[in-house]
Amino acid sequence: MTRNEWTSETDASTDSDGIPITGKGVVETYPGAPGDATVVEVPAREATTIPARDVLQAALASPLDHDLYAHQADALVALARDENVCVTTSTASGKTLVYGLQIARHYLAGDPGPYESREEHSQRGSTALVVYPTKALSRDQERELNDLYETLGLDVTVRVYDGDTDHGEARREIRETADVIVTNFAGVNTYLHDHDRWASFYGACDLVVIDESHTYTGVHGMHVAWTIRRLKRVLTYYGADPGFVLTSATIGNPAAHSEALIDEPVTVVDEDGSPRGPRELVLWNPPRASADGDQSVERDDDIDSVDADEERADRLPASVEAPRLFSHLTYHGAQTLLFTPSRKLAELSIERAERGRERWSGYYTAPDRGSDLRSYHAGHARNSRHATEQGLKTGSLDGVASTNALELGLNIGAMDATVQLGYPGQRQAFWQQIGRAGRGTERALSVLVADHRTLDQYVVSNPSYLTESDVEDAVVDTENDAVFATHVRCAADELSLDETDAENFADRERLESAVELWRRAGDLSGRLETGVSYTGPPRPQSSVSMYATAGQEYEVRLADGVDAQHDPEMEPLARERVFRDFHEGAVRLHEGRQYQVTDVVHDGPQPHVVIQPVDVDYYTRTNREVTVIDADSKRSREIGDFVLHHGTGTVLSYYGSFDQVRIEGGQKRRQNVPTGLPALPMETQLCWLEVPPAVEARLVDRYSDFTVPELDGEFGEGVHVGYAGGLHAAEHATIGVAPLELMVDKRDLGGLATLSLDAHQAASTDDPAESDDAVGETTRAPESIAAAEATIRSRADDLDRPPASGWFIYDGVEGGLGFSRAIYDEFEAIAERARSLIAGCDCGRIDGCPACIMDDQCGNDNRPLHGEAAIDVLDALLDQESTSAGSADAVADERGRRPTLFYS
Amino acid sequence: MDAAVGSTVLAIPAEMAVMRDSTALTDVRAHVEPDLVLLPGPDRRPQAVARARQVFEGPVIHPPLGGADGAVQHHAVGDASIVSVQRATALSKAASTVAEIHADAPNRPVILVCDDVGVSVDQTTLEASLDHADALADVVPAGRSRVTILTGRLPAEYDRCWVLDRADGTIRDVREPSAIRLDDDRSENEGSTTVSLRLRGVGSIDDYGDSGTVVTMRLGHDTPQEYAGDDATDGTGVADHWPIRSVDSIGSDAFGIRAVDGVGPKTAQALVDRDVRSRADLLETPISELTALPGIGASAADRMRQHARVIETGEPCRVTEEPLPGSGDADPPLCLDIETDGLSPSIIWQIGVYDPATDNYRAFVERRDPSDPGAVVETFVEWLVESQADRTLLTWNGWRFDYKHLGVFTERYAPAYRDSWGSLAKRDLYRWAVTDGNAVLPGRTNKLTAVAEALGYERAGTGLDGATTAAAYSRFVRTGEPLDWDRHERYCEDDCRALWSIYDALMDAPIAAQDCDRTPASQTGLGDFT
Repeated sequence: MTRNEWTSETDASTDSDGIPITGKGVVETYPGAPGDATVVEVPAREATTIPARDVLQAALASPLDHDLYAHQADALVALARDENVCVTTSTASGKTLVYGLQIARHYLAGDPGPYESREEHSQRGSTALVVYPTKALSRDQERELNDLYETLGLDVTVRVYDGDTDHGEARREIRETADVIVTNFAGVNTYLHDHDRWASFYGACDLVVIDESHTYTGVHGMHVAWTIRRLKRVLTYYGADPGFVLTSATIGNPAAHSEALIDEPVTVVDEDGSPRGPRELVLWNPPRASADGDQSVERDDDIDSVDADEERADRLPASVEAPRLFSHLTYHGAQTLLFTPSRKLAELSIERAERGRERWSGYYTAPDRGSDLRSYHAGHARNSRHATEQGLKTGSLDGVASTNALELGLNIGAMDATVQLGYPGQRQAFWQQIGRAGRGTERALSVLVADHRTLDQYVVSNPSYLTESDVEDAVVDTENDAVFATHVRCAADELSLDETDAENFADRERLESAVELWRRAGDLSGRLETGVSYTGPPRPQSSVSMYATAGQEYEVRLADGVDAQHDPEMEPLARERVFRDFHEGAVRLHEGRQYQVTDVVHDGPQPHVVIQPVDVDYYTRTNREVTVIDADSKRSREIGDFVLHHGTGTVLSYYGSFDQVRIEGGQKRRQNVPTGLPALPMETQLCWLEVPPAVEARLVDRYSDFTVPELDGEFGEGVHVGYAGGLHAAEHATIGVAPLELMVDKRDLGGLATLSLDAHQAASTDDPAESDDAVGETTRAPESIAAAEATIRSRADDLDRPPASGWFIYDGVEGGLGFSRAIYDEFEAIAERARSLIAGCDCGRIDGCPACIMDDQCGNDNRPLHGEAAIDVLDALLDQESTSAGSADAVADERGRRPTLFYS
Repeated sequence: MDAAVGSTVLAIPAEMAVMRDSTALTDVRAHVEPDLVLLPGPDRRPQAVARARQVFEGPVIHPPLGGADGAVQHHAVGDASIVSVQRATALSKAASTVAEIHADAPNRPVILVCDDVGVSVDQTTLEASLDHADALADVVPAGRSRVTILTGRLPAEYDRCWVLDRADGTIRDVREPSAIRLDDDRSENEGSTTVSLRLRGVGSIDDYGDSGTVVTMRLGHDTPQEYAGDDATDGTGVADHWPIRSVDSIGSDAFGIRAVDGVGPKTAQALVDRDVRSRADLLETPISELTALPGIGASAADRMRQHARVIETGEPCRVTEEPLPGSGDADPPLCLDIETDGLSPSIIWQIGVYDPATDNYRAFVERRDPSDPGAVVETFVEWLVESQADRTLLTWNGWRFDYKHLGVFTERYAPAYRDSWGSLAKRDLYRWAVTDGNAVLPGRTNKLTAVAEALGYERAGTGLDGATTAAAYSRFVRTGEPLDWDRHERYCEDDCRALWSIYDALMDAPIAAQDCDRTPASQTGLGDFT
């Protein structure tokens, strides 16, 4: 039978059991308890094509033998005008062909480029550098490009050059003979040190391709942006001035994102001319566990996702339901790709898919039908992965459970259906994944199985969110000085820094500061006037950690005497991560194995963490206290009577103790075991919202009866607790929904709600009498959170005006990521989403649930939280309700007794 | 120039003093002949002091340990005073000691040793600050402007002059050695409103691996006469001169039995266990006993002994039949050296070529127009191609520097000669001898000067080194003030001739037994060339 029989009613007769697996069909035939399912129709799109010869010279158009999609043609026209291009269209819309053909054009032209002396300059023909985010993709696309040049009858040599390429002669041969070199940015960063060996390749470079450019966001995006700037310096040095082609999944801000990456204007091509078949989207919220009658949910092998509050997580987890649906679809002959959020779940899903069949053996009477299922992730050997890719392509596999390793453009052919185990976090990734089903004009089916999390629940209750036109913005920020400084060292090593860099590489003041920093540290020598050389330890490029901002990294070492076969070979850890997750005594799960941290060495030439494998019946959860000090507003704007700020500040985290939690049942085995760690200061960017006094007064009054007896001390019963719970809930909700607007990971953001924003801000030194003290307080971060809190309380007491209340949202990375800045810019849209999240949640609880205002990373154990108060605050912000002057007196009254509360 | 040398201060890693056999320390003693031995912190290693005292005669100081007199100790070494400070909190006490020294002898240079002093780098705010700057500023008494500070917290290459406000310790400027020596930034106010703290590292350099760095500091005037004869200023009016004339860093594995190729920490320990403690012991140990050690085969044992012999005798030895680079040509190779304006050069301003066939030296120098970074390279390559195309070029570590940058500059500024440059015969004597393991050379390091001097080559004594000549040229570019061109050309010529002296010694060197294998020797570390 063919793969697509299930697709329509008319084909139903050919299906072996006659059940048409449409969206509706899945809902109706699934043997388990029904959850809540919504079926959304996504209409088909017709192809828009243009004859190839309208755009291309005959030598290329003739052998091509097919028309170009409109977006391919548009991009090629723009490239012919020497513009940089970002092509942002759907999965499988033929983006590779755009740069493949542009390379062919250069090849045929023997393009002299902007340097007329090219022929004299180099005997070498035109070259191109093509950069992919993964090594797997590099090899896949090397084949694609070679196939293209075979079709075109061109002798273009395409070679992969990365960490897997043999050293020595093999590398030299590629550098000196390849027309197209395919690599990744970690490689580009490394190879720039030896640019002399690449002189002829760089000198002849006419095109730089950045494929899957949307993946370059956050910290990694910053490193890539600076690596590209360094690459451009070297290319310029050798007389090359190449064009850039970026290809991206659909993102909200392709022009801004591309320009931030390459620091040049970019023409965006986003009118997708490729055809698309009709698609049914099933948004599947699993049934309540009790309704399912399923007490055997495999919680035990799911320690990572044990919820803090078991009784509220009452729906079946997606990790159980999604594999069953996956198996159900393959049973009905639909070749299906299941996307899972982790390698471990990819493995487990295969097992659970089988168990689903056993469970309803009455329904699945032919259990072997459609049961050739495999897992796929980067942990598998290359051969094995390649075999799975081939199995999908040829149709010999019925289904594959994969991490997002199969989300990017590897050529695996078309699937009939996709299932997503949980919402992947971003619309961009969501569309990219479901694009794997139904390539071409075939009908396709995609099932999203919602998990308990905030975003999942938001998405299934607001299906229109997925189909709205705007997708998230990709945030890449070059303002982080820690990352910048790291690349300044590398740039100086590659070519001396001079005056031209003060125009082209970075602005003068910033460049001079970084040069001075390293000159003082002994790593750079000289001045911009006459050239700044690198004089530090060899190969500064090797100190660039493409996924971390700066500072120390900790190696992960196996304890003495443990067999090396247990070495988990973990990547080095950033300091923040060590404090949070790898303190002494922590039990971590890695690739399905438990490890205990037995020692942490902070000092010495190589800080490291020592781990040993263990088999224990608990995991650990670190208790975190956090506060913000010295927030310094750099910009602000008014939203009605509210004021929103963005600036810099210090976030102080204290991971002072941890709990041991039993895997079975979730009871605490030991509580508040001290970690012995000091507070960890982080200089970062933050934004904060000031609630106007009148709104505060009204809400304090409205919720003054609310109490949280579990809270320590008098605060739990105070009149402010209800309002404070509202701010706290609004803080959680705004952070929780930020990924709906921006390509951020919630874990990269943190927050703090407070009744006294002012006390967290940088002390004013206007008063000379006080300046000595203030300097003393602000220049050194307090050693402990208690000291910081004492400072904040004393500042609050010293304030000569009533402080404003509100909440902070900060970038969880040293130096900042640009996320809080993006949130500052998009605050109204985020607040709107947060409001509808809280209002739309069916938990019916004032203190919410993990799907709305609870946060598993909350440093205050999710207390106090007040959903209604949060909605009132957000309404006041969004509706800009007028506030009656009458309540201002009451405000003043309350102030005297207001506690200095803050919640993270 | 050596007449000016007064005393010598040696810094050895405390780890080395504790862990290495005493023969390694005696080897250091013989090589350096120190007047004072410093065991830098910041880690406190009392055993290191005890071991060092058994070997060295002069004072041994380990600042983290303090001394009989408490946290601050004072030692006189030659013309200078060395004040060792246990911790930063004792800096105020050190200030009184320095004040007393100053009252006694206002011109006596002071070297403060304090391992709590370091440079804090904050990449997030792009700021680098001097730790304990306030307290350090207070150490310099009124009437004096300069104090040198040594710290084990920074690597031995570190050398910066921190100019601080005398009153509050705020940073006014941070100068590099070239600017310090040339003194072109010396302000009138120095001494009255500012203090100059010359901070120098005595800790281990990263790229020496785990072995640590042995630092030799020769005391004497580090003044313009010695370091920048091209400079007009004469150093008058400098009451308290900078007391450290030169610093030499060598990996600690260049001493004792570890100096022998193939003897790492494990083998060294295994040898000590058999009472083989020095290179002399090694030479007396039969091959059969060496091959009994784990991981040592016959050829490795043979090679170890060869190398030990070379170090002991100073006579090089060829260990393969491989002909010397270019030895098949009618004429010997042209010995080449380039000078740039830094490690990431923006100009190659001098290219020196020594022709052993005629004993002629030729220099290509950009004295007039540094704005054309390719001119010298173009002239040089043109000359080579037109008149020397049949000659082999020879460098010392050229693939990492001279050839690398000449290739880049040709590609960039003289593309017409790209192919001609590519087709010239380019060989590297360092690669041939050391990397490819065709010869065993004497010398504590593989630096050109160390090897040549070990072979008896006498340097011209220009007082220059690569970094100094680079900095001097940068200054010419910036100010237009000409250099003492002759001196800088003599320096480049000296390196070319030193290269030839090594080649010449290898031509005469005996070829050792046929049965040695050709396994490349392990290099002693990248640090050889930095």
